Amino acid sequence: MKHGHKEKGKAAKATHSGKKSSPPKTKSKAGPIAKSKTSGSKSAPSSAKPRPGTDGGPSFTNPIVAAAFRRAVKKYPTAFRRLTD
Amino acid sequence: MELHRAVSVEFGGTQSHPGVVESQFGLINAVQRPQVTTLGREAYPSFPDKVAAFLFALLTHSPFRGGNRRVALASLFAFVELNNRTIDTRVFDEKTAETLFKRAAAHRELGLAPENVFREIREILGRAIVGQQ
Repeated sequence: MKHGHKEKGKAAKATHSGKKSSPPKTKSKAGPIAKSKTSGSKSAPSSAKPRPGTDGGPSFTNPIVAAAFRRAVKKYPTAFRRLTD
Repeated sequence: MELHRAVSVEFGGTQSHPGVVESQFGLINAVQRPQVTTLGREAYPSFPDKVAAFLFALLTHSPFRGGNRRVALASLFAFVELNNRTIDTRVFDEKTAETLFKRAAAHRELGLAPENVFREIREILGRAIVGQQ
């Protein structure tokens, strides 16, 4: 008996889902707009990572040290990348 | 400490340990090395001597967990600019800096005499450090 009820319930759900197939069509129409929005947000992260030593980067208590660090990174980028412990 | 944090954040990658000091003694030793006196006289009298002493101590003790050579390079600039001087990048170029720092940090493994490596650093910095115009 119980199995029969379940099957009936499933069948009922299937019919309901079949009837409600029209709303996804409207969503699919809106799809390209959503995609364009995501593609726009993907191009944005260039500003997400700040340049070394700039305001968004590490903070220093002494401005001279901050300027020195910025200058060192600017003048020796390869050395900073290659000097590993 | 701040420089190590900055260097680790910028170049350390996922394995970095920003601001982690492994050897407190090594860090204090490196910072105080330029002020050392022997028999009442300064052991490192000139400015390039002091910078070379500080760098050599920092590179040999390796007080931080990772990024010691990068910190040494950044602190070279900080030390020099805090004392109203600059580094001539034509004399102390990227290749020279890289080679010198690697030799100083690994002089024991390479079988190099520490006094020779120190003299090398001192000689290059003597030519590279110039007063600000």
